[in-house]
Order: sequence, then structure tokens, then C-alpha cells
Amino acid sequence: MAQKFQKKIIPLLRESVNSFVANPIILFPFVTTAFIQLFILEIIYFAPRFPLVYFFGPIIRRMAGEAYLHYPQHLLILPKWFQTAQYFLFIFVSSFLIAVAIEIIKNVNNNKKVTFANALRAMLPQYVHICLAAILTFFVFYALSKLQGSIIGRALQIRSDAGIFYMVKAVVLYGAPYFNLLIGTFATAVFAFVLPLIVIEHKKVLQAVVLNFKYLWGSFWFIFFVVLIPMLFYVPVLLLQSNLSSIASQTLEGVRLLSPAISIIVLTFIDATVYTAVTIHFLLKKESA
Amino acid sequence: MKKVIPIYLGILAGVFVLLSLLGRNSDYAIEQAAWKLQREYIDILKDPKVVPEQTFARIIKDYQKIIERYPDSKLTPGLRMIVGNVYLVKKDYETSREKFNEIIKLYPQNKELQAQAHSAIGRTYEAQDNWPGARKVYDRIVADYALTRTGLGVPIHIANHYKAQNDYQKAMDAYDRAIAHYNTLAAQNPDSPAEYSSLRYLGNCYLDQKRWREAVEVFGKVTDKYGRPEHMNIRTLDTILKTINTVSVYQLKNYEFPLQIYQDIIAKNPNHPWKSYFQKMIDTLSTLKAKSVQVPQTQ
Repeated sequence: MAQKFQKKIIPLLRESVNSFVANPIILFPFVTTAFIQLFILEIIYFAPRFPLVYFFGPIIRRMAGEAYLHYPQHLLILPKWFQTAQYFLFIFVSSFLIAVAIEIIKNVNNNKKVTFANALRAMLPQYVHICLAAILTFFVFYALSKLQGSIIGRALQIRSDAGIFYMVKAVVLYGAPYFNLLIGTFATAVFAFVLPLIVIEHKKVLQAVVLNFKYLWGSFWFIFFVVLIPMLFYVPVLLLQSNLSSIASQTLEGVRLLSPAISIIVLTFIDATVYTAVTIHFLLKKESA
Repeated sequence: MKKVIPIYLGILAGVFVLLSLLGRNSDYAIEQAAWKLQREYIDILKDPKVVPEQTFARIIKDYQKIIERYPDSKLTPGLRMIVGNVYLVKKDYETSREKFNEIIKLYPQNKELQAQAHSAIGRTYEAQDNWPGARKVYDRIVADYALTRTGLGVPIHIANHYKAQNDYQKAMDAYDRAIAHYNTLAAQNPDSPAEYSSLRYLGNCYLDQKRWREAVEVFGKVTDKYGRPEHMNIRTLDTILKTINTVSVYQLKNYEFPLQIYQDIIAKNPNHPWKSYFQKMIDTLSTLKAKSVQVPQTQ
């Protein structure tokens, strides 16, 4: 898989896609994550109906209010709840499965026999470190999102209908989902080598974070664009999400379910491309050192 | 990998189909089926005159289909009410009354629904400019369904009708009758939702009659007895307090009256859940009083 170390974005991404096309087992952990996410989405979608309502009804009533047990208000909280579920999923499940994928890529690279079960078993002792690394990434993402939230709050106070201040307000408000995408890209790029270090080098989380910054030194923008370019495939999903209300009002309210489902599928391939590329880059860098 | 993807898809599809089938008769399924129709119904309410006959027919047919499919759902009575209302909007008053009478016969145990159906029949007569017919129905609601939510609103509705007709004498008589009615209900049903509603309607009657002091006294009593989270939300309380303040300051030119009400409430209930809210009102009114803010008469 990894032949020689080169710092070119597009060839690296092409190599990443070629790797999981040639070795579909690399996709297995990502597809499993997508399966779990879609399953959770289904459960949240059916939560206010018989028989799940017996369990979820009191929770929805308590956390959101009686109105959200009914159609179509329930569909309004669906993305929010799913988002919250995804945070937990990322910390406790997705990050672990990404680590399993990295282990698989490492074994493929070393021409070792690869099975999902073996990779999973190999990663279990590292579970705590993987979760802590995920918490760290999530915390940075969350803090930056909060900062963005306060900027949005400030922008909402701008009363101008024209001129520079209005433009600032428009950019901050209409560009919010895209800035959030950039924040996600930044958080992923900043800790890009933490998981490869934990998985491949068997480092503990703190050591991995320190070494991550060492690896990132001088190549941050390279890694940033390696993450950003696949992320751009998520822009159509953002456009769909921003027009979802009008699409739903003209068609069916159930369309609201489609947006997170499409988002999961697109993100699966983006994550697979990004983490495979980062791992390949890490392995090449290590081999060339 | 090749085997796993179909397994995952199979599980997701299986769970989707299973949960869809299990929930197909739930209220949520009816809400889903009725939602689009509901929006069409709201659309025709905006300007019924331009709605073609076949649109009315289609909406009614679609509602009937849902009613036939889910005859025993707790949401079905509401759908039947909408069918009656669609006929009312369509100006087919006879059929509308037929539909509401069907509801009265179908759900004899549901007093509130019966009162609503009677009230809707009253509205059909009003739409036909047949006030005596409407009045007969309304009087029956007051006699037979006095304690229902709909029944409680009828006496003031009658008075408001005469007021809208500029029939001063009949309006005042109707308000007097409504006041007597609400006083009786409040006295007969102490510490109950009926007393709470009766007192609120009573206060409104006094406001309509410009009997400001009595209005403030009644709203003060409502606040004292029912101004708690278990009876009303903070927005309702806010509306009542604003009414008390506005009437006291603008009409009665009296700051002491509302101050006394709020101070008494706090003194009686030192741990009142909305104590800080009442205190805020006291502080605001005290500041205005200290500054001797004079307010002009609005009416």
C-alpha cells in the first residue's frame, strides 16, 4: 500500500480511496459505525410510537415537552437528539472503530492476515486511551462550537440592514454550518495523529497527544487540507439541511429523516477517506524516518 | 464485507418494517395521516370563497377515510369535529349540523366533546344569521354542560355577541347574567378548575363592563388562589398581573391596590415558587409610585 513518502494531498487521497477499494475490510469498521448510527436514528424516529413510546414517551415528555410526542413536532427534535446521541457514539464507539480501522490498515500495509475480529481484539487494551483521545477531540470541537455560538449571538444583535455590519451579520449567520464544518475539520486535523500513535505505536493518550504535535509540526496545513478536501463532499448535505424546512413543507414532513440518514452515509465515506489517508501518511512518515 | 452489508441493511429494513407495522394503529400514525389534510383545512379557512367544490369534497372524503380506518382512536372525535367544520366553512349548514349531531350521539360519555359539538351547532346558526337558533343551543349548553371548558365560555360569548351588535342594553343584561352565573359556579365549586375558569371569565366580564375595581379584585383572587405552577404557567400569570397593573395604574390611578395584592400573596406564602416574580412587580410598582409617574387615561 505505502510505497514512498510524499507530501502531496491529491495523490495521498487517491491512494486512500484505492486502498479501501482494494481492501474493503478497511471500510468494515466505518460501515459498522454507520449501521449503529442508522439504527439509533431509526429508534429515535419510532420513539413516539407504539411500542417504543412506553419507554421513550416519559423521557421525551420530560426533556422536550408533550408536544414533541406528536407528529410532526417530533421530527423537529429528531436531528437535535440524534446529534446528541452521536456525541456519545463518537466518544465510546466510533472512535474505537476508527482505531480498529487504523489497525486493519497497518496490518494490510504489513501484508499480515487481517480479520475484523482480530483487529477488534488487538484494540481492546487501548480502549480507555482511545476514548480519552476522542473526548479531547470532542472537547476542542465543543469549545470552538461554543465560541461560534457566542459570535452568532453577537451577530444577532446587529441591527443594520445594509453596509459592512450587515455583511458581517449575513456571513456569520448564513455561513454558520460551513464554519462549523471548518471547526470539525480543524479539530480532526489538530489531533490527526493521536489515534494512529495509540494504535500503531501503542502510546498512552498523553504521550500520543505530545507526539501528535511533534508530527504535526510543519505539516499542519497539509493535514488540514487532507481532512478538508473530503469534507467538501459534505457541503451538498449542508445545503440540503438548510433548505430542509421548505422541502418538508412542500413534500412530506418525513423528509426530515432523510437528511441525517444521507449525512451518515456521506460522512462514512469521508471518515474512511480521511483516516485511511492520515494513517497511510503516518506509516510513510514513520518508514521514511 | 460483502456479506455484512446486506445483513446490516436487512436488520435496518427489518426493524423499520417491524416498528412501522407495530405502530400502524397508534395515534402517531393518525396524526401523520391527518397532518397534510389539516394543513389543507387551514388553507381553505383563509379564503373559503375561492376554494373549488371538489377540494371540499376531497378533503371531507380523505378525513372520512381516516375516520373509517381508525374508528376507535381517541383522535377520531377531533377528526369528526373537523369534518363538521369543513361543511360549516362550505356553508352546507344542514350537513354540518348533521355531523355535529352524530358526534353528540356517538360519544355520550364525553361531556366536553358534546359541549363542543353543541357550540359548533350554535356557530352554524350564527353563520346563518339565525341568532335565536344559536341562542337556544347556547342556553342548552349553559344548562347542561355548565362545567365544561366550552360551557364556561358560553355566557360571556352571548354577552360579546350583543356587544358586537351594538345592542347596549342586551349586552349589559347578558354581562349581568354571566356575572351571576360565574359567581354561582365559583361558589359551588371551590378550589377547582371550574372555580379558576369561572373567576377568570368573571374578571373579563367586569373589564367589559368597565367595573375596574371589581375586575382587579377578582384577578387578585385568581392570582392568590391559583397563581402557582400547578394551575397556570408563568405566561398566564404574566398576562393576569399585567391586567391587574394596567387597570390599577391607568384606570384606577392606584398603585397601592396591586402592591397590596402582591404583598399579601408573599406574606401568606413566604416560599411561593414565583415569589421573586411577585417581588419584581412590587419593586417596579414601588419605583413608579416613588417617582409619582402620572399615567394618562387611555379611554
